[in-house]
Amino acid sequence: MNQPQLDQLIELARRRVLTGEELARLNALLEANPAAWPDRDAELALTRLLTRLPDAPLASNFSTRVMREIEIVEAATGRASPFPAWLTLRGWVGRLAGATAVIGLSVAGWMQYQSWQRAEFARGIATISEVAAVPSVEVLRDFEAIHTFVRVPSAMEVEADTSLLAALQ
Amino acid sequence: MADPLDPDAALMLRAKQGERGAFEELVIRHQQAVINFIYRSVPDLAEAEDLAQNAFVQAWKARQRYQPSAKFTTWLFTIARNLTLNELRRRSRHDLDSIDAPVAGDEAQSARQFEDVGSQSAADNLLRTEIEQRVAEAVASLPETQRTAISLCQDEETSYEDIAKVLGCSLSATKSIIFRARETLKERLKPYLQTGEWDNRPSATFSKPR
Repeated sequence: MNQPQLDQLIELARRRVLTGEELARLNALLEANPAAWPDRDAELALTRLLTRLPDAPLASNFSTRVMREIEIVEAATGRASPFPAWLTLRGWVGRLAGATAVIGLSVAGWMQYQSWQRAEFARGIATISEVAAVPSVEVLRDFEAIHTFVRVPSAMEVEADTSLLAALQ
Repeated sequence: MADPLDPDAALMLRAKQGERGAFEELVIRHQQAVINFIYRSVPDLAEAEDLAQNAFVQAWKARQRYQPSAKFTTWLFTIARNLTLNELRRRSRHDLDSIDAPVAGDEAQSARQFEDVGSQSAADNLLRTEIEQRVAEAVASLPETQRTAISLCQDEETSYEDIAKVLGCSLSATKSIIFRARETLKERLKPYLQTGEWDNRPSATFSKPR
């Protein structure tokens, strides 16, 4: 069996109605191996239905209308530039405006974020200040004495350490 | 890659130089194919004509970007498809009439008359109109990608590679999409496939360029 020829005919049969000669060749090829295209009848019928769909009605002056519209567009945009849009002033102005808008929005967003962050920080400080209130004057009265006492190791402490060492040994 | 002597590419190169006459020739060559393509997705004739007109205007405006290495029709159908997709999205946002349902009794229906009325009975015409309507409905109800693939597939001059470029997917994926679309259509049109032959009227889905 000529497989490439069969594949080609099947592909063709899916795109358009086959001619009598093509159909005869297809049938001859399939006769040897009907399983190669078991859905042949439905496939051929579907192609027939699809290819018989009528054209959409087209206005006789369609192309004239298109060309008139092109004239209007051209007139509106001025004389057509021979340069691509990205090379023209209009192209650059548009790009610059776009870039400025993006940068402006980014800066505004960043400033807004900074402002929000500062407000959050201030709120945090205020909360901590309330929790860790300054000790009263009564508590701080003997501060100097206690501070000095802590810095100088007493003779008792030294002795206690010696005793501990002896006990460990 | 387009043939360097491809008449469409040659016309488009002249259009790139600003020659409107060359572009008008391209419009005349492909207007029916473009409007058929759009009409399969947007079964409202006035809307389809507007979209087709817009597709050509966009192609003119973007002519400097056209590369002769690409096939003109692939490029044109890509523009037409994007515009159609935008329209379908706009419709779905605005919750307009179902895009799946062709407009009943519109001017398109009345325009779908058969040239050879005298030789056929009214019943035959009625049956044929009904079949056409069912087929159009079945195609219109396919997912957009499948519908686009099937519509382009009916034009023998548009290769699978070109269809893949319009759809923006691989060749194997395109073949798979077409296969799935045909399976769905076979299922939906089963009664009409079983009744057998239709007439031997010449194919009219896509007009060949003049």
